Amino acid sequence: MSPLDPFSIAASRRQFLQHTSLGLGVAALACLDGNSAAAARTGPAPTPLLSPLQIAPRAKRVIYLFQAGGPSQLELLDYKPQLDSRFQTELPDSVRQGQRITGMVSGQGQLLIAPSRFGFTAAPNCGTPIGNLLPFTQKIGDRLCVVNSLHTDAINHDPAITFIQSGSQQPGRPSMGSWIDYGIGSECDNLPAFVVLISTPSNGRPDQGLLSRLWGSGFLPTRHQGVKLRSAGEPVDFLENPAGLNPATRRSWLTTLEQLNQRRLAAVGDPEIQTRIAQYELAARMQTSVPELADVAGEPESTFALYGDEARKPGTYARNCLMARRLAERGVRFIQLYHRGWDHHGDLPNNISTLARDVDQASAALVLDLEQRGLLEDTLVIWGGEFGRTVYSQGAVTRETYGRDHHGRAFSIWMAGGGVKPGIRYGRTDDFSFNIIENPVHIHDLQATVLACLGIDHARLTFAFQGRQYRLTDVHGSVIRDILD
Amino acid sequence: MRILNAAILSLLPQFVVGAEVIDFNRDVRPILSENCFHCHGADAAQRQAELRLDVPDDAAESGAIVPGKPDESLLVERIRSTERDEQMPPPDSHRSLTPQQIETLTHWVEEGARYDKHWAFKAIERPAPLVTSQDKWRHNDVDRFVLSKLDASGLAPSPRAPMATLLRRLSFDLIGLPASAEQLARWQAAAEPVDAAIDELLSSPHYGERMATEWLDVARYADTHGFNNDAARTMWPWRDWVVGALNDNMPYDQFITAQLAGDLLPHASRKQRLATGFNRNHVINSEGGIIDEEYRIEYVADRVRTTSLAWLGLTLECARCHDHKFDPISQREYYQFFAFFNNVDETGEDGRIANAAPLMPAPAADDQAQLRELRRREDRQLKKLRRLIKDAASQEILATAPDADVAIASPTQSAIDLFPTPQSFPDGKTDVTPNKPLNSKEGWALSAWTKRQDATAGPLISTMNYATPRSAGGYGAGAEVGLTSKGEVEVRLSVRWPAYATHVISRRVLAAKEWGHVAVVVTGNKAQNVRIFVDGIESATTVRHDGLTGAVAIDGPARVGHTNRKKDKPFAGDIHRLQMIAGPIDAAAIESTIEGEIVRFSTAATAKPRQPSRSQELIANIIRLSAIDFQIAEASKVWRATHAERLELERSFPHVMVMQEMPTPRKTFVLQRGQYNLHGEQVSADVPQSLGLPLPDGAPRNRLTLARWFTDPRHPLTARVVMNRLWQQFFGVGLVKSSSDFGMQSDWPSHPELLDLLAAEFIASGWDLKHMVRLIVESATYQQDSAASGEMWTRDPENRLLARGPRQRLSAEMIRDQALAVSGLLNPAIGGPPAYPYQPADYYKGIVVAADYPGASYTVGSGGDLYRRSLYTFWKRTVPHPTLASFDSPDREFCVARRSPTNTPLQALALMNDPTFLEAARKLGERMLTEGGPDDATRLAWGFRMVTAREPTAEELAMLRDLLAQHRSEFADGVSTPRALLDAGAADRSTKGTSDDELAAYASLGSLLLNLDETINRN
Repeated sequence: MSPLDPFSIAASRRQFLQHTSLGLGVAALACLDGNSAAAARTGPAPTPLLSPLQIAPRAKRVIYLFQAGGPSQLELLDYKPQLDSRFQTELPDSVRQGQRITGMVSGQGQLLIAPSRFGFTAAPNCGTPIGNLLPFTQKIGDRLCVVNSLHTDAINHDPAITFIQSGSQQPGRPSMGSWIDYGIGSECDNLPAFVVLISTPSNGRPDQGLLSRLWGSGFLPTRHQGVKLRSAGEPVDFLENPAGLNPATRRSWLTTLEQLNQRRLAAVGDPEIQTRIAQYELAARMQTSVPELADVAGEPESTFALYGDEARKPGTYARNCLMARRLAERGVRFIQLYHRGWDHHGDLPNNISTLARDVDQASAALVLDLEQRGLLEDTLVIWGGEFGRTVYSQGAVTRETYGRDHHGRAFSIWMAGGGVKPGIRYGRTDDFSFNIIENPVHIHDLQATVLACLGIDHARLTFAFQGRQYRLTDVHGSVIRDILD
Repeated sequence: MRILNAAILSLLPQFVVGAEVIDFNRDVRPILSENCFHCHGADAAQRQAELRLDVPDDAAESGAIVPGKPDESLLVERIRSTERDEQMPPPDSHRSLTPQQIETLTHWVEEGARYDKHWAFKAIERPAPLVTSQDKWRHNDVDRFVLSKLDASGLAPSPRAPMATLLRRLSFDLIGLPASAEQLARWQAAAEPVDAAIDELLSSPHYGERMATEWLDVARYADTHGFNNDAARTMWPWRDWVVGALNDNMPYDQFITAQLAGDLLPHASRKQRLATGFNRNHVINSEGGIIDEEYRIEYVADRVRTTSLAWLGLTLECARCHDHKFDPISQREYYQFFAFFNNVDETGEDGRIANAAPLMPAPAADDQAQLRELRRREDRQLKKLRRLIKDAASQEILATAPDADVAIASPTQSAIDLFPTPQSFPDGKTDVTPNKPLNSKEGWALSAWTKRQDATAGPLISTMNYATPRSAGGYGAGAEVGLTSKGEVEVRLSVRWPAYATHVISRRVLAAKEWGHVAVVVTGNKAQNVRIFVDGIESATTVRHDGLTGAVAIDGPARVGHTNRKKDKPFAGDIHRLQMIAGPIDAAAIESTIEGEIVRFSTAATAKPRQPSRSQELIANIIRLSAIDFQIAEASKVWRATHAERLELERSFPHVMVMQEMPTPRKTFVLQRGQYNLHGEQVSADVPQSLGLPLPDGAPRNRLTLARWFTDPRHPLTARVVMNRLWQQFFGVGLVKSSSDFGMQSDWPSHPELLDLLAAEFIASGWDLKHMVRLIVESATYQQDSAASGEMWTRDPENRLLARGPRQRLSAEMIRDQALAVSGLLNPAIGGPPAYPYQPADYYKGIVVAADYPGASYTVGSGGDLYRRSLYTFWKRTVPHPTLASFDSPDREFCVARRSPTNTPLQALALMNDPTFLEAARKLGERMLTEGGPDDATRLAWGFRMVTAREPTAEELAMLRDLLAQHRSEFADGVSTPRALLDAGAADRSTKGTSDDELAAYASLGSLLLNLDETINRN
């Protein structure tokens, strides 16, 4: 008998029944924990209940290259040549318009303009200006959709990062990856649907913590939470059998366990037992598939030429980009990277140079690598942080050095692949990269657009909890159709 | 699709229409609420076409509903319409009605469109017992209502579960631990095994631990503050209060009152104040640069959310930004409720390294006992000392005391040690600069004489910088020693006032208009490093803040007798002989300096008009008489040693966060769109009107009145909500499935009369929780066998009809605790600081902020600390413990009324390979070998009984024996090596004569037993 028939796989049986009226979430039932393929083997997919696909899906998966701390758009993606002439001048009140600023500079008397110390170059074939700190990214500019007009409601790290990842500044909501896993499940039957990779900056200690909730499932069932692949020790908690235990010994152990659980199932009838049997099978498969995933020994030299030598070291951003490609190849639905250290309140020019070097080559390599493998067209890659930085300096400003505070009213990200138009810029900011003057994109709009790329109508991906229907985009969000291919 | 069929079948019993009369609450309201009230309900801002369907008169007046005449009712016309422009709900709302729902609404209009008050807002009335079938099966009244529903569904209840299975179920449900072999044997030998088990388990001290686990989820208890920095906090004394209160079976109305308003009770006890920590368990943000008010508002909102979820079962939170869309709660009412919790003197940014104010000391039980003993001893010793002094005086020994010529002139000559030149402060307003910098880390001491005017507060010396804007970093950085208006001595050390500060106040006071002596000794940054002496006697202190994040230096000009804060008045009175000494501090030398000051002064005090205070006199007498009376010297030494020991003990007590009202209530405003800075109308504290239970006229609008309101026997929700959660605890699903929502959107109760029976009985019993637990577990309903046919699992997967017993997966805590218990590792100690069981190395690395905050690293404990019950595991909000988190324990960032049990491959991996379970497997293997009997069969059966309470079947035993044999040969042949299995965990190996291979084979079998589905379920 196959333990993998769609009913037995319904670990979420109870959850499912709780939410039948919604239609959604049912996808996750058949696709539980990466078993849509298995479900498909034993019978037709339960399409009648699925139909969340209001719009044709453009992407099958997402790789989110999250730059935690708030990278400065002024040095990287939002070119403001006019600022040079305003060096050390006060930010005009007409620009600030009484907007709130953080407690870190509110005691500072003056808000003096700090032009970027670094130049920009137009990317080939499209003319998108990209900061000279990102030479590799410049070369793939014609694959990118640069959005200069993102804005957020939050001005501090914790609320801002929680907001962009879960749609709410306050903790407690499911993360984007969890929503997507809940909504459309996985395509992979031996890896989790939502995988998280974390790297730290090459220059030392990040001063911002990450929070497990960023990949948490909030009120969704916990099986939708992201699984963190660790770079040191076991990649997945408790993945490895005790040393010296032969796989054959483990196999006979698992067989006896299954037999005993089968007897129990026959005696009691609870289908949860069937699910548990299947989950032990999946666990056993992960014991093979995860180490195989993490082992890059089989990668040719050309891979390391592309991603850079840093990719040879586990735990670096470059290695994680390579891991992201390997996860994408295996059909993992949502791949979330975090690179920390972008919070440059002081000595920004030096700090941002290091950070840009950490991520530039490998980010571009990932896009090229996906493209070469034919994966870019159905993989949406997103690069960006939780907010941008201020045009005015935090602390003293000279031509050589300055700092920038958090800025949520306008910042920049780029996206590539997965149905997003390549080689375009979207949205415009004023001469100070302070306010948006054209095509603003709110965080909820970005989230709606990402879901749309996956074929999900953000307004219909809901979950009833504590008396209310919740969704990733709260009660807001519009798909930015202009950037979709 | 089988899935689809299962779903529809299971829903059928709730949606049978036609045969029986339509019940508005059960049949109609859910349809209207889900599909119509969003635009035609209580929220005025969202209302379309000025139509309300939630108010009968409005609905009738508008013509939407013509009772009895569906064909004339606009509502019926529009829901039947298929034209896009006409159709209701409109297509773009993404809502639609099923044909059956349309039929139900039509039928309802035809029957007269009778509305009914929402069931949960109606008064609780004890239902009359029902006559049912199956009298023999029934145990108590609970079963009548279950049977009645089963009769109506054409089903029969299940027989009682096998005794061993039932006893195991009871043990987990009542104490969260498996029954031991000895307990099982003893109960089974009793005349009534179930009664014997229930009696014993309900009086076990582990009962409180088990019941507390559920409550800690609701109360979002954790050991860290959450957010970015997520530093450790100390709230475990509150957690221990919960365990104790549940063990003592504190009447539940008192349990509510203590937690909501223990501090406001007349003559509030220490425990009652401690209980209010409930409302301080929320997350607190210490990220630099956040806006204080924004987060302070979040904390108050969290109290509203948690309190309303806990006892109202209403989602008041929905009315924070606008009127509630479904429930009759306006935004104004939200902020009226908010006002009850808005009077705490707290700061948005706080908790960087310690607890946030307000605080109270919360000693562990041992320390309390020691404190009482020290107090008794100190009293005795002081009485003896005073008697000796009195005797000496009566013998006129004083006359020969060598003191008479020590004199102090009038207090105009002042000296500042370490300051450049002696200064005098006739007007109390002179700035001085120390000639050597002082630093809180290395320590300093201060000595001064003051004579304060009546009821005025004032600074003696201050370097606090209040000139920087409050919102900016560094506000209030500096040090300050001053007097409060009551004459207490107040010490402030601060890098950012008040959150990152040490703030300590003496309990002894200086009398007004009298000369008194103040001494302060600082030996570090923590509150416990600050000692205050008043008139020569060390004072106990009250800690206001203890969150100082770095050393505070006094290296620039210090203001004597004034501060740089505009509203502060200069010190009103005289300051004399102000001296400061740089550390390192020699405590004995400082104390003799203080005594010297007292002697000099009090002897001079014989010259009128100055009278020494009682303390001054005592100290002076001690010093003078000790020189000539050995007994006094000895008695004073003994007393002062005890006094110092007692105060040192008090200073070492952990402090917990509690509720405390500000003297002047903070104003509360409606916040437009819920934004912290958009003040609307000012409101005062009140409860939602729609519940029909207004606060009594004239009652103060405070938390105590709110607690009395919650526990009013006429309250429609409190008892229902609590009893529903209790039912959920035993059956997995509440009688109302949406256990956190009893509002209009809630699920119709599966057994409404049963819920009311429980609620009424709860109140009538005097809110006796154990009585209610007993009532439930004594019912035949609870004691049913959980096995059922495939058809029944399909028809009623969640067991809403209760035709079988509950079968639930054990909670995360129970799974680990069981492994510890059956392996003999469990450390049953109750309460105390959090425990640090095994966690993968560097588990926080890469996630936790790379700063040296408490709780930023995890050091695995040792010895018994590794084997504490799981509820004591260090609960770090941003990185929950993996062993517990994989089994669905919540991170506790917010209140949770029900965990959602899942079934994942990560759970399988944890049970297979987590050192926690491997070590337990090894020890279980050892126990099988040493306690299990003479041969494999008896040993394996013994192990099987340990985890399931029942005997294995012959077939099951054969499978275990086969695997054991296979393992033996694999280890013998070297296919697998046993080392890792034998090395798991820190516990010693207790089997001496057994070979490694044999023990490893048994350890692997132990692991298998811990992985059985039956083992991790209550069956």
